[in-house]
Amino acid sequence: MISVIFGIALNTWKQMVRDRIFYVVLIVACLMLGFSYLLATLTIVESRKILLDFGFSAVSIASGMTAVYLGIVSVAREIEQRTIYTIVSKPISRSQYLLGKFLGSVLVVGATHLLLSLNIAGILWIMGEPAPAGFAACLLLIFLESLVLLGIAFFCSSFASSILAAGVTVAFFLIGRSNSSFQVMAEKGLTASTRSVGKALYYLTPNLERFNIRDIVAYARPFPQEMLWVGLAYAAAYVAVCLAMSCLIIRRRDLP
Amino acid sequence: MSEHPAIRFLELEKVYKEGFWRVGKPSLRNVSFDVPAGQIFGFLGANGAGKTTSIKIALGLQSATKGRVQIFGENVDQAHSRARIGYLPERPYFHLNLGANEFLDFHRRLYGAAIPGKRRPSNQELLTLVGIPEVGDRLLRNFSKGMLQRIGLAQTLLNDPDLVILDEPMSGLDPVGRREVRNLLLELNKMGKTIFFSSHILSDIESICQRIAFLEKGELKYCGKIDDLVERNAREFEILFRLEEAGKNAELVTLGKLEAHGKLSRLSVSGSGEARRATEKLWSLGAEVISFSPVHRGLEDILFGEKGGARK
Repeated sequence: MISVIFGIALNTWKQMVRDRIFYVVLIVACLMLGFSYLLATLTIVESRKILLDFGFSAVSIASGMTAVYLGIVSVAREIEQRTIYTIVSKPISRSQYLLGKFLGSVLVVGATHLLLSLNIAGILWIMGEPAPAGFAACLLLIFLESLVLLGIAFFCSSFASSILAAGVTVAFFLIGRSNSSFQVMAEKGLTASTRSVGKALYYLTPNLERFNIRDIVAYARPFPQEMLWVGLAYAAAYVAVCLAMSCLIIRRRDLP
Repeated sequence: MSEHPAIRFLELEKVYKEGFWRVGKPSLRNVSFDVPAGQIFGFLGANGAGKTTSIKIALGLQSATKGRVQIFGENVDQAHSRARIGYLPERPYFHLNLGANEFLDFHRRLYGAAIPGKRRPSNQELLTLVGIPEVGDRLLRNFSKGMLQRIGLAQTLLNDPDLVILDEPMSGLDPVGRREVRNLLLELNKMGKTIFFSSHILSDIESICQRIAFLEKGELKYCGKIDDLVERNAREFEILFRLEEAGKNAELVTLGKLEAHGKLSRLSVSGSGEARRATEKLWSLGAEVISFSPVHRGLEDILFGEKGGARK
């Protein structure tokens, strides 16, 4: 069973690293990082803050978009293009297929993230700036945020078309970044029903703010260490639930 | 060889949803038949008759609304029931960013450990068998349609399967390619493999299959030997005989279509009763009957008939 999952993961990796769109995302991310470097060198004061602010945002967006793209391509597009046929007609379960795809996608997101993280660290080194406290933790949390998005993309892909799944996942990405507003709605809503809706949305949508210590690190403020563990546990739980639901759905789904 | 049929379709029914709530017309209606092990079995029907749906259910790609499918006696909802199958879908849908060897290695891995007593052929053996021995390192992206079909066929043989299921394996191939695929299927059958393939090209099926099943609008119209079907529908008979001035005999002309060439004549008659009457008449006239043979009609004529409908 494990061998099959690793086989599918390895195949996903090979496919993706030969995908031109993947390189377009990487180039755009590198250009964004280059832009942040340029901006930082043009600024007389607080150049490190600007570099980190832009740099972290670039890494976050690029890793997030890579995760969304991979989630869609790995499942929804495989179903649409029917490349899934010759795979799941073998003596494997669809859950094995899905887990293999997920593992392969994690590898690709991880590699992308590592590359961009090294890029931003390299720029700091060129500028002669030391990495601030929490630099690695911030990048790790951005990676966890990408994994949550990957889980959501897998979940949406298990039942929707690639376009719909991409749209919904991006919507989750945007909503997840302002999830705290649902908390405000749940606490301060004018009516009981508004408060209930706010509460429901708060719990149903991912709280991506849990992975955001970008400002804290950029402004060299001390960051609460427990955010790392809470983020890790939250991402693990969210991904596990997404994958479990995806497996349940895809096992029952008729392939077109 | 297994005592179970290679595939058993049991009262299969499939109804697709139309939109979110509405239930559509049945795509398959109470389809039951066996595919005996060790044979080449043709699955016939026009586009939309339900062939691909039946195959997808047999492979667990879709679920049946009613009924079930067994592979060598095992229900297809068990993943390990597919361990003895090699499958090629209608069009080659593959990961085009992979090289030919990578593609085969990946699919080989999906079968897990080899079944005891089975020898899995190497990539090179398979590529040679399907006629593309030199493409191991090439990316599938650079393959022609025919080459993709061939690598797809190679992929079906990775596990040395007992049953090979092919959905329209000859579609999109040129005549030479089609002949090569037909020869390959015959060769695989000689190796003891059951071949189950769908096609709407009757000549492909007629030339290599021992048995067929014919679907029309989701219903099974015929299942059995091609020879039986042809024999049963042999309603024209041809009598070759020798008789002086047969063309001038008014009685013979009324019996059927008469072609006289000197002493040798040919009389074509419809129906076995008419054929017997014609033979008796010829004998009574003192004719020397040289041969009496049924006129074989092709599958196309039998299955689609003059009205375009199938006959049982």
